[in-house]
Amino acid sequence: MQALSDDLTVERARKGDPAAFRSLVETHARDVFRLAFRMTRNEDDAEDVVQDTFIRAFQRISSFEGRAQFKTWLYRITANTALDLLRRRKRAEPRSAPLDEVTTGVSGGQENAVFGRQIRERVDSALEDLSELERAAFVLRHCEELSLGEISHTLDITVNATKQAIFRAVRKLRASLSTVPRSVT
Amino acid sequence: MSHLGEEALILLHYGEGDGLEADRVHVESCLRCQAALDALERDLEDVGEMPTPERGSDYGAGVYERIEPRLTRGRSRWRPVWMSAAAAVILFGTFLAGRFSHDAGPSVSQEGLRERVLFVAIGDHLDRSQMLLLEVMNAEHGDDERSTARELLKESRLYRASGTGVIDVPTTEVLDELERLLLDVAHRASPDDVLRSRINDQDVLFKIRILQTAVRERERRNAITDF
Repeated sequence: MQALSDDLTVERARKGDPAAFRSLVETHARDVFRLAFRMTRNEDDAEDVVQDTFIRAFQRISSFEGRAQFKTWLYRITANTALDLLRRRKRAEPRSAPLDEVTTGVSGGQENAVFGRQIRERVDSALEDLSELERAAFVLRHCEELSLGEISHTLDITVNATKQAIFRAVRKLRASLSTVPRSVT
Repeated sequence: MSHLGEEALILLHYGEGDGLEADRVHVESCLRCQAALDALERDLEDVGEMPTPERGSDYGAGVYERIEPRLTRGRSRWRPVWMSAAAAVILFGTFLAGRFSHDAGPSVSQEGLRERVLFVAIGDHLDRSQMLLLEVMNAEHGDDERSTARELLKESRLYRASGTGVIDVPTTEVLDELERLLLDVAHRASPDDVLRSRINDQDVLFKIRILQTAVRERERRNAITDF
């Protein structure tokens, strides 16, 4: 069966066609999950974000006017849903164990793997230290490859604020990585 | 041309910025900027693509199956304003009936009915308030949202007046907090971003969800006692 175009499917979903909304979920769920996971860094949280995103989208689809692409609109809801969750988590839960505790006890024969893991953990830790906005802007630019204009629309901030958020994110990530040796001789 | 700073290099790496072509030409002929760009790209490569767990091609179908009951419930509970207003009138009538028959002593069924109507109405009120706040969180709010906020505000005040002695302190606190936000939305007293920060900072949506769960549990218990 030939897939319906997004525009036509969105139009049918706006008019209350459940099959059309289902088709939109089936088409976009993996992209939404990927963005949600990259923003939350947690699989369960990402699943919650995916479900909440589509429920919010369902509740609001009648007001979607098609001025932006459906995927951009959906990303906007995903980013805001993930930001809500991250802000709640930040207040509710203590930070995870420091890196030094996590890496203690690794033997000398596994240095390359250890350094690779150290980099990953430094990156994860640095990502947690970013503000929600910095992380969202960085993920949307670095991983999802959205333009500054698209990110600005998605996060409802100016292009200049988007740039500044990305600059701060990159600066913090680089500062964090600067303490990790890059190779073993 | 002077050397490029980190911000210009970041824009260059991502292919953004007004002076992109000139910066690219400069970097090609400048060893120092080339080295700085290489270092930046090495760091960003270390950050990587942030690998995500795999999801199969039927993932979307599974997501839809999981959310479908909530979509149906959301649609059926998203009642028109006149229905909520009718619920408020019934509630107020039940409240008055309770008051004027006080001399004879309120019967258990009367009190029970009053409590039941009240909590169904509060559950509906929370659903509608949650949807309104989600609208505010995700888009600029306009006349429709302000009008809905005014309706919800009126209802909330009525529920609280009718629920004296029945609504517990935590519920009252959430309704208080919600009323302040509804007032803000109704009169557009704060810019959207300030309002969103308040909703986030005070965890209002989270508190509403918790309260919804408690109210539904109460509805469920009431339904069980009917049998």
